[in-house]
Amino acid sequence: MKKETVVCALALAPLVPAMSRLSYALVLGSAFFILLLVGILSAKAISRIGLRESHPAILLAALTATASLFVLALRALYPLLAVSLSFFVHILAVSGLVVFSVSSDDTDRAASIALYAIPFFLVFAAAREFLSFGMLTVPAPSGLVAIVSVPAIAEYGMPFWATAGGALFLAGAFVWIAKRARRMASLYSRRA
Amino acid sequence: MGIVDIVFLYAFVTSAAFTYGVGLTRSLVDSNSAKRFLAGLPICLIEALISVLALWYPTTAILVPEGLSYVVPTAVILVIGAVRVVFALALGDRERGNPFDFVTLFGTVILALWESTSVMGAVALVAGSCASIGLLTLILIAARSRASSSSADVDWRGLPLALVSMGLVFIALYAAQASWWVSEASR
Repeated sequence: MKKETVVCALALAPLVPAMSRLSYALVLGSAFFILLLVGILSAKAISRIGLRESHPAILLAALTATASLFVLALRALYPLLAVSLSFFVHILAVSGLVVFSVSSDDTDRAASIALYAIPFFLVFAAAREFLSFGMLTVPAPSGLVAIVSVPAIAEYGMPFWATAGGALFLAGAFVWIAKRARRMASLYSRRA
Repeated sequence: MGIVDIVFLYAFVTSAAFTYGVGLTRSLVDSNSAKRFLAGLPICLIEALISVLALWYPTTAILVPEGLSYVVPTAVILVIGAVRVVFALALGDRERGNPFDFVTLFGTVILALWESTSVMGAVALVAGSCASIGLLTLILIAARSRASSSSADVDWRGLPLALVSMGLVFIALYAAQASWWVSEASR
């Protein structure tokens, strides 16, 4: 379980630079959710037809086609965001294959582990955007629309957290907190 | 822009690893083993170069002008898959690499096809991207080997320290771009 979680986290690491705003995380989170659904359905169809030998190739074709369709929809709905995020949607499709290859015998399990990543990414991106720009944004056809804005943070905040370096620092801190919490919990459970 | 400029651009200024996330995972995984990294990176570079050269004409002369740019990622995956199979057969190692290598290769090739305006520019971008990943991994290998012999807290060891080390590499290379104090000072 631990190995699968780490592999899923590593597979999604290329998205770290893109998760600098909540709006970006909402778009990429939606893309990832759709890709997971398509992946699960494809895996079930493959096992029902009995084409297990061709499993990765068919799965990859399904994920890539879904990513292309998602990018087309993104271009129609949010053309400005599509310019920035199309590249990452395609990376997400290939990362999706890594997620499913972690436990190819149990696709639902791999997808359920990966699903935890979506709320984490939303919180992570919201924290970065708020600390950096003092606002939270959602996607709009004209670009981004601020739903929360704190001018004081916008003036005196640290845009460093929006950079890849800031994201890596925050990710390191999150992993450290998770490791510490797990160790403390196992210590308490042993004592009790 | 000159070829060398493009190499430096994607190795440092708009680092493929830090700006586009290409190879971040590979750096994290390979930083555990310098031997695997040194053996794998040249092959990754050659595979990426062959894939880009094979895809350049079909992409720029057929797919994009015909409005079929959404087919490009699928074409990239097919060509990369074929190149990797050929390399695996040639090297006699069918279990070579890990799944993250494929993600890195895909990111490098698609970045080269989308961002470049000439075939030489695409080749230079691939070289810059591999240089960016290589530099980051080498520094990370040194940081992790130093950390393993240190008295760091047990919860900091492993992934948290590797991520923070990557953040420090970013600051070391891109301080002038990332720092808020520079923009404050130049107001």
